Amino acid sequence: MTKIKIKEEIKEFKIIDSHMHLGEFANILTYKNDPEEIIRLEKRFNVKKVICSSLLGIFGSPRLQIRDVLDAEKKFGDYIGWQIVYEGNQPELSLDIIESYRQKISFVGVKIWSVGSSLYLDDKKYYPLWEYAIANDIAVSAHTWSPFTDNPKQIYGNPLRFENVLKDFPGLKVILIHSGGKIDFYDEVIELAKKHDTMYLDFSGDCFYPPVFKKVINSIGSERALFGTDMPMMDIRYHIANVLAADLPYSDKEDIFYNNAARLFKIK
Amino acid sequence: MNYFFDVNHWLGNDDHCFQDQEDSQANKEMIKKIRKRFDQNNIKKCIITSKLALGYDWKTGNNSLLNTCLSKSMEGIYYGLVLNPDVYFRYDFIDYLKEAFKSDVRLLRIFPRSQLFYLNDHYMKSIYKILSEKKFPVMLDLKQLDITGNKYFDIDVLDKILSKNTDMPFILETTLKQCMFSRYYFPLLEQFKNLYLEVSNLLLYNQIEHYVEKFGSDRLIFGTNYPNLPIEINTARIDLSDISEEDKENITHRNIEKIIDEIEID
Repeated sequence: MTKIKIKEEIKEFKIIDSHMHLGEFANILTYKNDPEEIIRLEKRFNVKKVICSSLLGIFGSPRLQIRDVLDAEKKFGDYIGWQIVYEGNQPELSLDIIESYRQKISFVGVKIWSVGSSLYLDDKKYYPLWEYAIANDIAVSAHTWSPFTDNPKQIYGNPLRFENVLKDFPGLKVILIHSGGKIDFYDEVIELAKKHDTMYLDFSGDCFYPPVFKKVINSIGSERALFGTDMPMMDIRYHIANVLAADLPYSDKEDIFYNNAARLFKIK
Repeated sequence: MNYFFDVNHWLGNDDHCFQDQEDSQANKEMIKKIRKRFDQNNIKKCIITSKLALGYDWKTGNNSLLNTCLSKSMEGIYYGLVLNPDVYFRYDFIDYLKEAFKSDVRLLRIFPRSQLFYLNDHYMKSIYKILSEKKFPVMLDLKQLDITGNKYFDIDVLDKILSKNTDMPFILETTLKQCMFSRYYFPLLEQFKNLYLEVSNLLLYNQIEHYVEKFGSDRLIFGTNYPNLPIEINTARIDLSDISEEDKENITHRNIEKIIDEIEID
């Protein structure tokens, strides 16, 4: 057996997966990518609820995402909490969709993917969203990535741009998806989060680094780190092992796996 | 699943202070650390490669690794040497390979992009021919074929090499997001039975299950890419995979053991 007795240890924790998707990732082959199979795997690892955004909404069309959301709601009920995608280049349409559907579905927040929109995170086109989110006490998840990578488009995901946003919108609840995405960038992101207590950090993605959780907790406490998988891009088993391998007390892992997301997304 | 054989384990630059005085305190401390790491993760065998050989100079790093005498101090330790065309220019390659084998080297690793040579370089062609005759395994990271850095892989060159050297076990590592680009290597896996995939970084949802179903578990080889990745995430992924115990045994140790057993060096 491995050091992490994962089969046994995971039974001790209930989990909210605060970052996953349904739909097709653009131009990437995923295996058995049907919603039932994905949800089956989540439930197998004691995930009590998933926070989901539609890939069709992210990569395709903000209007079409609703079709996927309504279909999935019929199958899975309120096991899925939905984030509606706000497309920065279509602010009026996006806000209209959010306003029209938030009472009709199991809505928990908004998702933005600024890299796809080729907009910096402090672009004015997001300002209507920030105003709406504060007025309605809604958390916004934003894909973030280090600007120092091979892919030049990731510059639009630079989380340090939120410094400007939060000056104008203090109290905005924002989740930095992937927390900047790269181990060598985490320190700067954690410094930013130290200054803003409504900023949450999600460590989903392809950089596994168990010491990051200790770093975060030593810097900003245990209440703002979230467990997310990015399923079906990434496999949940890696992310669970990444948290279980962290040198943390049980109560901190409970916060990461469940308590923080339950509080942020108002899950009872 | 009895144990793990880690084919992709790195020794860091600083660890090379560990030299060939078997009784030195530094040696004892290093062995203690490695033993602990292996015991905690049920690793019984591994192939260690030098980061110094990749990042600084292949000869310096390889020699420094061999001088650690780790394989003499711990059962189940083998070495992976970093190789580039200069080896053919400087040495009689058959003699070089025999000496390496005697010193417990069981894998050669190539990094054409990082070390600035063409994968199908003039001298490399001769090297592959000998490796194929001796059935000696080679490992390459797919990222090393991404010449532009924008995930567009020069896969035809690998096709050429595999076509000409069908007895050379070729292990393909797919670090980080290169694992998403299966369309490049799927045709090669279908065509060449001597092509294997190392599993660290097969991060996509159900990816290991998918590959076992599509190509069989005898084409996957366990590796951790430690310390670039934590060991536990890769051991846990196999532990929790939805494949049979037989398939797990193949991936965790049997496939690489079979490859090593079939090396034909006098």
